[in-house]
Amino acid sequence: MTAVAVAAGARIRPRVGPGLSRLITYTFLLAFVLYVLSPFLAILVTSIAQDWFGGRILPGSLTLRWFDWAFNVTNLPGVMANSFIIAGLTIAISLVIGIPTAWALGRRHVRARNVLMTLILLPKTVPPITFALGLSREFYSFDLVDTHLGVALAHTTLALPFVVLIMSATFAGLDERVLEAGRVCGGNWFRNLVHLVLPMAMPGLMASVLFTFVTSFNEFTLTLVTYGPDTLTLTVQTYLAIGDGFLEVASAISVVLLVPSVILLLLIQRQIRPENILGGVKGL
Amino acid sequence: MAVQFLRRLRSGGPGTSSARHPGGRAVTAALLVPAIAFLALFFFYPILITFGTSITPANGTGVTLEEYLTILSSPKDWGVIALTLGLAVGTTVISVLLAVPLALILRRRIRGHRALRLLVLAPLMILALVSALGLLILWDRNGWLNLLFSRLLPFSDGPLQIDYTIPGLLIFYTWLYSPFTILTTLSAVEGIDPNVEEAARVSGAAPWRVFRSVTLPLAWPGIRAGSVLTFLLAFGAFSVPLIAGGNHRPLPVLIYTEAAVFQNFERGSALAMVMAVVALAAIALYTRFSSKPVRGSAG
Repeated sequence: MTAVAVAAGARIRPRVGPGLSRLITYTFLLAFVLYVLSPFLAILVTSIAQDWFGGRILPGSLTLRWFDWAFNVTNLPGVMANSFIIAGLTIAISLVIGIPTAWALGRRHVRARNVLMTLILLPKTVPPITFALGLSREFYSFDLVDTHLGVALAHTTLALPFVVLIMSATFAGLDERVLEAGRVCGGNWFRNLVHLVLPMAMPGLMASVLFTFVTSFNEFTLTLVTYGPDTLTLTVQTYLAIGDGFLEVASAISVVLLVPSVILLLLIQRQIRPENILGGVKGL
Repeated sequence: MAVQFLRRLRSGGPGTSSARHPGGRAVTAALLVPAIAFLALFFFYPILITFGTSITPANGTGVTLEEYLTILSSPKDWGVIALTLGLAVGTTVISVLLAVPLALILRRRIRGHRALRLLVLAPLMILALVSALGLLILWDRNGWLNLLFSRLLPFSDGPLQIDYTIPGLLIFYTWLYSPFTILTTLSAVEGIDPNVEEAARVSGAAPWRVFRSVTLPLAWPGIRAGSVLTFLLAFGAFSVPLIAGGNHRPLPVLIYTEAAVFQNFERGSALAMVMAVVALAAIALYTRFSSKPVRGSAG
């Protein structure tokens, strides 16, 4: 707790030992930056490393062999296509199912709203492994295992609560005066929907799409219990490569996996305030 | 922030009177049906299946509580539950200790604070498995950190074993799940009116006392909201201990191993139900006992 006291002191009374408190502050920040960044650096270097054995700080030589392996031996393009198809399906299903419910919860009188909301958020409260076994058994009896639709349905259980949460808040926050103006000016419901509701709900919709994508693209537990040879995703492929002990190939796949995440990260930073997105991300 | 969204939602948005909406209750119900039906089919029904499996004997007929009794009477299983809870609590505590000073620094909008904010988000966007792989390579016996330690501390005997140990898991979990606590703490700290702290300072309170009696209580709702998420994710962590846990197997790994490797679905399902109950109980306890940062605090 001393660091806390020092940091608080530094802010409140900068005159007392400014040099020391500044030193501590920047050491703390530097340590934090290194702590967060170094795993990425380790993966990047490993993915192109050759002759990197005990005691060396950097690999003896560099190679693109592991990327070649990742693309050809593990069929990375096919696996990537699976990941994107499943993420796309998850987005579509989550929005189609979630938006009507979000509209009702956000703009209409719903009895037992709190109970309903708690139930809808429950899949994000209990760890996925608690219903993964049952889901797997259910999917076997419905013949949904190893289908893109099946894996997407499994991912939707985690994406839907977030879509409902964020969209109902978005709908509840729509400016009533604008909607009233639309009605007064004689717009029919469809015109009002397209020209008034849709633009106003766009930030929430964007957030829902982005985070449904991230949820599906990164989901491990529910993919592991529903995937098959035809629906191998990047996540599971990374796990299999690590399990086989091919850390270099796994690193190469990881670098490929990082690309969409980094793009999304930059997009989100511009579009949405980070504080608003917590409910949607799940790093399991 | 999710919690704020929820609160706004519960207070009822503008224009929620049903009179204004055509169709009334029937339309409302029709709008609610898809999501409820979906969750019933793909969330609640699977839980029911899991529960059903857990109370079905191996020969397939009748009802038995045998699996639950086995778990409750096994010190090994209690150890696993304790390990899972311990890792989650440890991660939460470390995350709060990391989040508070970081938030107090970022609040001053020092140079580069935007880049730092982006950096806090990074672990959220990236697959846990990928970060775990990076951390495993980094903390390896021949990894960069051990190379660094061997240069800085030449008298230490041999490389540090971090990978596949409990401290290692805590380091990994904190890397992965602390951003939730950091983000909510940051937004809570930035929401505090500086004049309130100024007033305490002018009244003669020492910096530590301002922090403890003014800043911390005001930031507490934010710290609490984020740390619940950190706790939940650390408690449910599966992929990370699966590849980085070594001999330490928290509940999710044990559940998966029992079901997928040993084909013992009855035991796996019973463990899954125990896990769900422990998760819900832990959250209930946490929200119950964390409503005040320091009980009996004067001021």
